[in-house]
Amino acid sequence: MSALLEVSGVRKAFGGVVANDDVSIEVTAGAIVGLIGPNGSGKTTLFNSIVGYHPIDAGSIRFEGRELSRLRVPEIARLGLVRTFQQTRVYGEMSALSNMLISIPAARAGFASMFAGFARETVERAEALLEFVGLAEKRHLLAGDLSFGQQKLLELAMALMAEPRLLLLDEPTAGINPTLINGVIERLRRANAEMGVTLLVIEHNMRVMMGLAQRIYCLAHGQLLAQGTPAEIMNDARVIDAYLGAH
Amino acid sequence: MAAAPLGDGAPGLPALDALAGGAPLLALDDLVAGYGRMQILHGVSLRVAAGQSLCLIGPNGAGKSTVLHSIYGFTRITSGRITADGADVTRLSPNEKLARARIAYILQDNSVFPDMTVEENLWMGGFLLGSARKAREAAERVLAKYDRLARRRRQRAGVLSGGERRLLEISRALIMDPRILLVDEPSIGLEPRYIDQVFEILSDLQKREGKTIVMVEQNARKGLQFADVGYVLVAGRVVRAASGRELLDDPEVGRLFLGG
Amino acid sequence: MSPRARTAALCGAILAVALAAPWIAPAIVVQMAFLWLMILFALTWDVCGGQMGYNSFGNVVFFGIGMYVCAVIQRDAGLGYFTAVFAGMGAGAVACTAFAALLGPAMLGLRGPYFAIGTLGLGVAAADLAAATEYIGAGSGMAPPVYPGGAGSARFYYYVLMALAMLAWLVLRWLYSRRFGLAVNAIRDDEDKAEAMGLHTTRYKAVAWCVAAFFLGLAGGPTGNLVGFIDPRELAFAGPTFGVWMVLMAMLGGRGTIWGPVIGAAIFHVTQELFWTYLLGWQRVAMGLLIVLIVLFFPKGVMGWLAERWPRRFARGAVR
Repeated sequence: MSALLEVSGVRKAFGGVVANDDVSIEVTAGAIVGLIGPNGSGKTTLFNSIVGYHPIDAGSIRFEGRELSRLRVPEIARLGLVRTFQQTRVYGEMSALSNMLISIPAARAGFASMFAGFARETVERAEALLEFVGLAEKRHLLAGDLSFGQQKLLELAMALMAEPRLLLLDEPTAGINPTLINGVIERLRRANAEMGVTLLVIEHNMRVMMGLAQRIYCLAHGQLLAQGTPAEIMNDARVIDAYLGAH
Repeated sequence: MAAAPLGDGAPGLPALDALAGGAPLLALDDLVAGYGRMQILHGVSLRVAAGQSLCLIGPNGAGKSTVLHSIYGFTRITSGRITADGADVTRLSPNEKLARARIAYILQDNSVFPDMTVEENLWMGGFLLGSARKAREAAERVLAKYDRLARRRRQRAGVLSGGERRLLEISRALIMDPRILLVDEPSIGLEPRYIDQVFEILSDLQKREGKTIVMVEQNARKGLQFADVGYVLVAGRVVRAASGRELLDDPEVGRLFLGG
Repeated sequence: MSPRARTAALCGAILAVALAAPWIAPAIVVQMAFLWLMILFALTWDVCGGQMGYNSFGNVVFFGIGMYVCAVIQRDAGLGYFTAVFAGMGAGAVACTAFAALLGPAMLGLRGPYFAIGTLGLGVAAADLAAATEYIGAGSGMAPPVYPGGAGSARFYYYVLMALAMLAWLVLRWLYSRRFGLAVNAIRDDEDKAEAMGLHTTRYKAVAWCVAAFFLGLAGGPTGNLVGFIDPRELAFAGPTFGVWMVLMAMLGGRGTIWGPVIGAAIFHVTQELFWTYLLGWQRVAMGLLIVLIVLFFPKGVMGWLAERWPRRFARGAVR
């Protein structure tokens, strides 16, 4: 299986603080990879570097062989690398269906496409994805009027609408009631298995992470501390130490 | 594998009561709370006795700071109750928490007013006392206790060392003579030599002045070494509660952090 | 009657009244012509403001450029009267669109209050520049050539402005039903999210501003000819009046809707004319109070109020 995303020797410092120091991770096509680490470990910085929020000081980030580190956020998204937000961002004053329609892949969009309407197939695909996340009946409601959990599902559906090759999820279960967590996880698994979407997930809920990811990278103090299967990580003394705060 | 509900093994109220010696000064009951639309705490209960110290540990994102924020009134509380000394204080504003319920909140790092002097920072701590004279008197009380601060009283707070800044942050909270101190990550951002100092200050406040301390510590070991009681918070719920010593010695605690 | 038929009937009725108006009430043709101008102001402001969330206080720049370009063509191109007017309008529209396309990426890179103040500065700068440029009459302004037909001038320009306002409404209504409409709304609701989803935000923002610039550029010339005298500060680049009113009218009627700016412009303009007629001497005080009232109590405007009372009929959001 080829590497879809290759992060090699990435270094990023803010002022005097080194947030990422020689970090390398790899995400193979079709996999579900997790990124964990205690506060200050640098996983958010790494995530932001990958999606293009800021440049890196050294190293490379290659997506399908293409260097990302000098591209801007929208350009990276158009390459097929879509991310979701921890606080969940949707377009609040537009209907759920409109949110979906505006999320079609922008890559193939030429200037004239600005003035195009929405084809029947596009609307059908949007409705099918809303059905997939259980929001079909709410498709004409304003996204801002949905509950937080529903917005999370809408955001996921929008991300899938963009036909991503790699989906980066920033704490997909943060802030929702435990009873809804299973629904989100199930959809992510199905998106991976049925739609072939590769997932890179940051998650603080370890039970969720251990049950979802096939491979996990653990960062601590800006460096890669450990990598392996969930079972290996859970039993790794260095990882446990990092979380307990050994100095 | 579905995310199993964390009801199994979680401590019941009798256990929490017992840890607080049966007479809690501060109690949380089934608190469901969060920020804005996000729900972070999914039913948290807590008991701490007068003059006791309790440390919340757990992986990041578990909701430890959210517990402190909720006690103080910074979050949106959906359901549940907070009682201090028998009185229901759930809906009190932060001002009321400080002025009436005598609960003070010490923020994480860098919360001094850098362009004001040490004195002025302390006077700001007494803002709710209603008169500048009372605030000054209270500040003198505090400065009498902490010589290190008194020596620097007219210096800009921004030039203090990390340890002195943390001392100032704590002292400022003492102006209102609180009974309960909510301390959010006392050791964060501090060089190792100052960390022990901070814990000494807190220990003094607890043992000598009988203050009740509820703290959040990212450094679980340090926190459990200090506190009488430890609560392990995972994914918005309390999964384990025991004496600090017990949790410190238990190798299983680390696995709890990783979803075990 | 289906919603589409209802809209068509409404538009038909408005068209009929609009066409007949100069013959029904010839004494107020100029004021009615200005009503169409106000509608156009509010509609074009709303593209960037209400629909896209970029509150411009400098759109009046395009209006003034259009006015001056048309006047210069009328003066210097040596064409027949009507040819000159229409050529001038066209040239004005092109000049404004080009100007917007040039300045757009830089200006629209500013967010929120910075964009507002940046555009405000644009309007002020344009007014001062025009007042200092001899070629276009500097502070003394310009007088366009006299209409060959005496009293028919007001009526002619009434129809021109009416046609422009209706054209703008139709074009915008069509644009909002396309991907363009959803895109600018997405930018308004969460521009960072739109960028993170790969949307060509710069492109959409520039086009939105160009569309506004185009129609404002078209409307400048007819207005200059209607008034008969182009003053750089009081008419062409009238920031504190037209520039601010466009915002208020759209707000009063309901930002981000296709009928809101129309309703808002109508209420605002009629109220203003009534104040002028019946409260002469106090009309500015009354206007000021009205503005404060609108901003404080009516931020969602008429359409917003209707959407709350009758959500089924009037609520935004559904794909039309």
